[in-house]
This record gives sequence, C-alpha cells and structure tokens, in this order.
Amino acid sequence: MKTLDEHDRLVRIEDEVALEPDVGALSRASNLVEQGGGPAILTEDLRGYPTGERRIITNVHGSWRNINLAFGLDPETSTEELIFGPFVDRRDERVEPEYVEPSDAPAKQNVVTGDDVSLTDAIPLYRNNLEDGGPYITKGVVVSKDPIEGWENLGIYRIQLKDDETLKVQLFPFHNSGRHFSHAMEAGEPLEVAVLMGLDPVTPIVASSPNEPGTDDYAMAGGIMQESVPVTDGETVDLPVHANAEYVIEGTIDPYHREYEGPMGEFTGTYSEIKRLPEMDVSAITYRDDPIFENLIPAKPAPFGEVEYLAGINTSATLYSQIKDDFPGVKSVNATSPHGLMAVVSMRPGSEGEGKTAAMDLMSTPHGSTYTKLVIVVDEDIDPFNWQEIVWSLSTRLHPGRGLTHIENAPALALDPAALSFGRDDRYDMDKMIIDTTLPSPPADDFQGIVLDPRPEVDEYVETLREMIGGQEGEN
Amino acid sequence: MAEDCPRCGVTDTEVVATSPVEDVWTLYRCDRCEFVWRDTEDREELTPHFDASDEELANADAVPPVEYPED
Repeated sequence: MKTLDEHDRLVRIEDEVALEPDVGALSRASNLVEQGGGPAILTEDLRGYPTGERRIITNVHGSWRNINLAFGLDPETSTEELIFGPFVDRRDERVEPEYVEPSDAPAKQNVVTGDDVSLTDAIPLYRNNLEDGGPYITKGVVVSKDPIEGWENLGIYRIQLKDDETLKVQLFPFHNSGRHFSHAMEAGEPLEVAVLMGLDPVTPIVASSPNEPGTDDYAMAGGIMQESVPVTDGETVDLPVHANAEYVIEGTIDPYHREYEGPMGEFTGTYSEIKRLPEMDVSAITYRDDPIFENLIPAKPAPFGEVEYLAGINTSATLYSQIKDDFPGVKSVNATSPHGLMAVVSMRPGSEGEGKTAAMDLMSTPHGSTYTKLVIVVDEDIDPFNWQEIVWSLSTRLHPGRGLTHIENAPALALDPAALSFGRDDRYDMDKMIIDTTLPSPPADDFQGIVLDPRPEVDEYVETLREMIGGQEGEN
Repeated sequence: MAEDCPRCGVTDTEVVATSPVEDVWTLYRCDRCEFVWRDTEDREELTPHFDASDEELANADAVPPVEYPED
C-alpha cells in the first residue's frame, strides 16, 4: 500500500461511504477510470463503523502498473516481461516460509474465538452487486490441508456470509482445495480451513493460479518474491497462517451439509445461479490493529478487471511451463483473458500440425481441461499479448479448413454463461475450439510463404524518425 | 422490526447483525432462500429475475455433490 501511495496509485476516500452501494460501485469504477486498470481505492470512513476503525481496500492488483510496482519494476514494464521475469524464471524456485511465534505475529494483535466471534463486527462485509445473494469475500486466500495426502494449498474461492459465525465456500472438485474437500468427504471428517486477507502482493497471485496438486504454495510465493513468507500457527486449526495478514478467519467445513448460495456477479460479467454450497463454521477471527479488509469486484472487464490481472499472470506462467516441456517450440502463452477461458500460444512448430497438438496439450492440463475453451496459436513472430498482431495473424495466416478444430462435449465451467443449457437435460455443456494460424513450413526450394523480415536498418531508422518527430514508443 | 425477504417475499427472516455504531443498519437473512441484505439498501431496485422460485431452489446443484459415507 505504501508503494502504491508513493506512486499515486492509491486513492483515499476520506468522506463517509455506505457499504452498499458505495463500496462496490467505487471498486467497479476503479476498473474503469483509466485505460489499463486503475488505482487501488481505500475507503476510510464506513457508515455504521466508528470512523477509521474499519477500512476497505480494493483494486490493489487492478492494473499491470500496480503489479509491476509490487515487484519493484518500472510501472510500464510489459506484461510479457512481468510474466517471464519473476513468474516463469522463478517458477521452480522454493523459499521455505519462516515461522513466527504467534505472540510476534501482527495477524494476532486481536484474537476473537468461540461465542465472541462476530464476522460483521470484525470485518466490514458488503454486497458488491445489486443482485448478489449477500455480502461476499472475493479475495480471501483459503488455506487447507489434504486430509489423506497431507499437502497444503492456498486458493482463492468465493465466500458468502450466511450469519455472524458462518460462511459458505465454493469448492469446485477440480480446484486444489476442492480436492482436499473431496478427500474430507471420503474420510467423513470436517475440513479445517483458514481464510487470509490483506497479504503481501505475491501470495494472492500464487493462490489464484492453477498450480499442480502438491505444490507448496507458500514456498512458491517465497521463491517468486525471493523472500520467505512469514507464517504462524492457527489459533483453532492445525494450519500455517500468514503472520502478516490483516485478517485470518479460521473454521471447519462439514463434509456433507449444503446451503443455498448466490447468485453472485462473476468474472464472466454475468450472475451465476443459486447453488448449494458447504458451510464454514467460524471458530476464530484474528486481525491486526486498525485492520484493512482487502477485497475485489469480479465483473465484465474493461478490458480487464482485478480478477484478470490477479489470476492472469500465474495462469499464463503455469500453462506455459506445462506445455513447454512437451513442445519446446512454444515461445509464450497469454492466458490473461478471464481466468484463461481463452489462451493465445506463440510458437515455432517443430513439424506440420504441431500448433494444433500444442493447443490440445494446453486444453489437457488441469486448468485448461476445465477453463480453456478457445486456443489461438500464432507463429513465433506474433506477439501473443498484442491484439492487433493476433487479429493480423487471423487475417493473413488462418486457413479455416486446416486451422479450425472443433471439439465436442468437453468439460464445462459452470460459471461460464455460454455453458448454460436452458431448458435442456444437461445443466451445462461446452465445446472447445482451436484456431491454429501457424503457417505451414515452405519447401526448402520455394520462397512463397517465407515470413517477410524487415531490413536490419529499419529499427535504426525508427529511432531516428522518433527523435525527429519527438514521438514515444508505441504501446502494445 | 423484522423485514420480509425482498427477493422471495417470505416473512421468515432473521437478524444477522446490527451496526457497531448503534441504529445505523441491520443485516437480515431470509430463512427460505438465504438472501442477506442490509435494511439501508434500496430494495425497490431488485428485479423479479432473481426471485428464487421453488423450482430454482429445488434444482439448485449441490457443489460438490453430497455423498454420504458407506455404512
């Protein structure tokens, strides 16, 4: 927050605001106020709470500029550089978390347990959208441990308030914490969880990305930051919790009980339907003095919202790393479009048709198999983060007969509005598509189809002309 | 005073919480459809699309599907 403030990327709202509709509306407005994502918004006087005792911050990860600053990078660093810097290069590095005694942990400055637990007293929870089923925690990092295999996971899942001691948590079985919950169901035991809010900037990015089951997420965040994540003991659960969190909510989830949840305005820009989700009985809330509740609003992006920035980075890095092993010709992956529902792969195909098979590989990864329904493959000279270049590739290099592949009856993401089957037997269904725009390799003795490289002198003349007209480097 | 659910209209509702500063707001929950709202919101704006019909509630998916342990 200090870094954002120093770079004028934090707007403080000092006037009193209502939890509804003001906080959600401000949060959404922060997505729209600038091209490329807006500043973080800190509301300091919330109606119904003593002035300054409870505050809310949103849009912390709401632009590439904000995230670049978190890494000490120039705010205008390109997205590809950001992803391929810390997130791909350090993806396999692990720095173990550092244990902090509970008495030294800022997250434990206030501890509330048992009958004293009151979610609304501790946290200024609010409804983002007019028709949301209730107040939501949308940026809470859920810590859980596999009750059979023993590995821990961090994941961000939507969490709705039921009452002052109970939350409802969305745990899809294909998410890592969902796997833990499935094992808890098998074992017939409640699942212990902790929800962390208000953390360092990297841990939520790691938590919102599709890491392989078994990944030590705290150590991965440490590797990316090149600095240990401080953790301490849970107050009532046997889980490591972030020692510097603004808030930690602890509790257990009954394996078999479900309650109505939703609708909620989702990252797809549509409301999801009412479902029946597991309940979390809250056993403890710990928080810092003068805590700040960090949250976000999922919404139709313009072109991106905070979800896209937050989840897009490591989703791209993860998918890239997973398919690069099988297809060394892959140069880059852009999965920043909402949660990787679409991905753009740039590559040099090693043989005819490899663009298509690399795309199929991406759609067979744990994340791609559920989320990704469209993969566009471009040649290595096309920047997959530059939409003008992608459209140019579609225009000039696509042969619809060879380049289009339609895959029927694939797994569907229930939150995807295109997957809804109104009035049909199946609740959801989804097909997938590959658009391979990579050019076939021309025969060795033919020049047709060889990519036109500019003369070597062109770059130099671009600089000369730029100086002559006093222009700036073009934006990607 | 108890409020009817502005989403589905039933009268069975509960107070979830009141504001830490007294008499500013009350948060309610519907016992039927589990909608949670604050009494300071403009509930006239809610649209009938979201009225949580019997059919919608009956068809609501359990996620993940409930599985009972074998005896």
